[in-house]
Amino acid sequence: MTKTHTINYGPQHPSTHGVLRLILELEGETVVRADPHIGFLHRGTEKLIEQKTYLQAMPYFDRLDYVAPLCQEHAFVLAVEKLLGIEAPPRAQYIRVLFAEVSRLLSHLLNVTTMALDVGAMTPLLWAFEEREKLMGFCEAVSGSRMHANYFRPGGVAADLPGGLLDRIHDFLLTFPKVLNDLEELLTENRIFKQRTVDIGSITTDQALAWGLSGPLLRATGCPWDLRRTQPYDVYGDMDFLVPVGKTGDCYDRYLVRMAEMRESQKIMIQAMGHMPQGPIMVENGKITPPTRSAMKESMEAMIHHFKLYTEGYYVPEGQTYTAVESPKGEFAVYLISRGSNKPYRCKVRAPGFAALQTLDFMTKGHMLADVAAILGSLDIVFGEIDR
Amino acid sequence: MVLELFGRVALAIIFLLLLVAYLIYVERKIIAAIQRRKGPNIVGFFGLLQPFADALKLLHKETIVPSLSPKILFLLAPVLTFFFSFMAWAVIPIGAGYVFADISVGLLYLMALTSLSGYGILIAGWASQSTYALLGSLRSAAQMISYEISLSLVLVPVLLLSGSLNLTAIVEAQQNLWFIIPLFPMFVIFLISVFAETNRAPFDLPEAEAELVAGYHVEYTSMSFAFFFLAEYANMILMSAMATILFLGGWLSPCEGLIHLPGPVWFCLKISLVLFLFMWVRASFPRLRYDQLMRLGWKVLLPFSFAWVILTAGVVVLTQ
Amino acid sequence: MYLSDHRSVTIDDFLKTVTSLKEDPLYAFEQLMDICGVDYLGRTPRFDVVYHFLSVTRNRRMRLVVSLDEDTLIPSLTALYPSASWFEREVFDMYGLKFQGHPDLCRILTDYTFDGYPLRKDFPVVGLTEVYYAEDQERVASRPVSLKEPFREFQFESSWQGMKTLFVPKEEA
Repeated sequence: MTKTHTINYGPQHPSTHGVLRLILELEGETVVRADPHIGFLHRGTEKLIEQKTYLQAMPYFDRLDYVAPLCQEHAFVLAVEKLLGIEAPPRAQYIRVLFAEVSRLLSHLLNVTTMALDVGAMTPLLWAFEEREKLMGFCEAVSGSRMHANYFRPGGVAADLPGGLLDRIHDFLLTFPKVLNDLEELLTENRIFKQRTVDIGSITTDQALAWGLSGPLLRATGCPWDLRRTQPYDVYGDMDFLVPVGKTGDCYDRYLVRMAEMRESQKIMIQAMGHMPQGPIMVENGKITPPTRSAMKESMEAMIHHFKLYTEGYYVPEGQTYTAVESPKGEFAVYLISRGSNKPYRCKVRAPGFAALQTLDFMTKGHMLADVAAILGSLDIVFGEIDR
Repeated sequence: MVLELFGRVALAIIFLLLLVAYLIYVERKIIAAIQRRKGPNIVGFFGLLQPFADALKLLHKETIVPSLSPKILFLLAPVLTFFFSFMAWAVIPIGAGYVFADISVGLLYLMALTSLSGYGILIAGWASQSTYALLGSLRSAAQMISYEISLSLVLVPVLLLSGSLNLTAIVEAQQNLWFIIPLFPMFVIFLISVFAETNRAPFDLPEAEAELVAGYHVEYTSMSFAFFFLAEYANMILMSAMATILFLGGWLSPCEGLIHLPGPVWFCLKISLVLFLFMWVRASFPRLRYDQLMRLGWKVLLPFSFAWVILTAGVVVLTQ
Repeated sequence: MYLSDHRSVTIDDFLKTVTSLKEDPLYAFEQLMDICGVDYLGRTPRFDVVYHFLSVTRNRRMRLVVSLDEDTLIPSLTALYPSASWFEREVFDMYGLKFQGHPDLCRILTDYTFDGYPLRKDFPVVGLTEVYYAEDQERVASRPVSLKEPFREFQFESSWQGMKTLFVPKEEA
């Protein structure tokens, strides 16, 4: 009889990417069973959103997947817009796409390099953080906040781009591929990195579909499913980009897919900046869009609207919608039920990481303890969205 | 006489401790440079007082012994590791005649001590009463045993060429030709084995942060942790010294023109070169998995070094 | 564009419908993306469980709504869609609805000793208990919530109902 022993992996552990508690049953160093315990970061976001008006609910979405905040906001604003029956003006749509891709870069840079850290390479992380710093600078420039931007609004975006920002982003994008090349040089053909990731945690397309996986995890198995392409929202339909897919669905393919996606993101951003039209950044509807400061100084009507919009909020017609966006981690969706009041009746957040973490048990089975770290890293989990 | 010897030993140990402290500082600086960071730069000029700040911090922390641990074993382990890594320095010649104990079996003594240092880690893992520590120490024990074999095999060609176990004699045998030139593959294997032997990246499995948190010293705090830390870096310097003596011609100068530089300076320069390699590798490579490490040790390095031993022996016999 | 359907089923037809949705090549819903509970307090039956399916081959979405009350057991979908496991646990955790045939139906997001079903509309936002560090016992313990200032729920809805009737989505010019 072989004896197994149990170790408590987390919640304070350097490679659990937050507060995951993993009960691992090991046979020597081979994993027999992995039982993730989640919920250490549960803040009751869904309950809180039910208490807030639609506008007040926005900031909660930054705090879900705090690595890619704007993609979450994107899902929520699209859902509210769908219920309101409005569409953001073109300039706002381009700005949203641009910043959703900024978020994607933020998230992928962090994930790819922390995964490298999990298998022991620490230099890429520091290199990527330099780039993330610049990207967060762009978020700060438009919203005043580096991470929790609260920038998108149902019906557009909060503020127009400050002057010169597009040039700064453009300069960044010109040097960015070189940074990616540097990262690839350290990792892609590195034999140790390949030994640690190739054929580790591989899954087939059927398994990925059955387990509700999406995003890079699904694409790494060879299924070219990208919501930006298949169910385009905002101006993604006009963008010219490729959907990278892997072959084996192992950790290495996930890494490659994410690297390739960053290059595609760069292409999308350049297009979005090139095609961005002039014009309003919010729908011209006084019942949704707050009046400008200058209008408030002169018009009583504008003052009243401002007051009402920021206290009572707007009423959203009865209905329900399930609106999904392609967040860096996969299908991020908001299921919103309105009963005609100024607050959502129910707002369910569908987090891609929640479904991904569920697969950990069967992905790690039979692998070694060290592979658990690599697989966890490749799943790209962020506890803000998993625990909600 | 005895007092004088004591004084010299104490002086040497203090010097070595300083060296280790600054090695940590230099490592942090070098890795920071590779990662485009600044590294320690607050405490003192260029952060030069950082090692002292670290030492002070560690000294005034509380030593925590897990409640279920055997106290004596728990505290003995770091002391043992520290002791063995410093004892080895007795036989290292840093220049012609600069050596504490010029014993005739110096190399054997070194090998014996490096093997013994595995015990400290094993005891630490056992006494910590923690799964992480236990796994770390088991890995470390397995790793040390397997790599010591290839390490010893690497030494055999050197012995064949120099004809002595005395370290001074080995250096002197390299007057005409450093052993790195005829034995270059052996030098590479030696370096790989040394990385594994000192538990350094990419073979830092016993303390793999991403998996085992800190491995065998996860439960250690304060000075007991500092002992492990110092021992690890002292071991690094020791192994670099060994590489220098065995392959890089010890204190000998590389060419006639530079003969005026004193031997110990050359010795230090060469050690620094090897140490830099340690840090460079640490900053660039991911970590191997446990079973991959074992495979590399037993299936690649061991047969290869065996073949080289036979080859060298053949060549030596033929040329005599 | 893609198709998106909404369908309500009774609890008796539920399993049959899902099976056909999955196996019918016309639909081929390979993925169960989300399971969500909704509490309509005051309605009978009180709860809805909402399933969202996605067909990758047909590029199609489907929403399936099952209404039921607290004591009704819903068949678990874990055999058909393994991804259902955690989603069902979440619904159980948040609403206390029970799934029949789920291999490990236990709480998932809330604390180990949590009591109550937080997303029900009659569960207070501030919660029932709070954790604190009990100095005398040297451990973290829980006690009933006590707020320094009572929780105030602001009602901003206009008593004139003005904006409700006035609101008309503006036609695009």
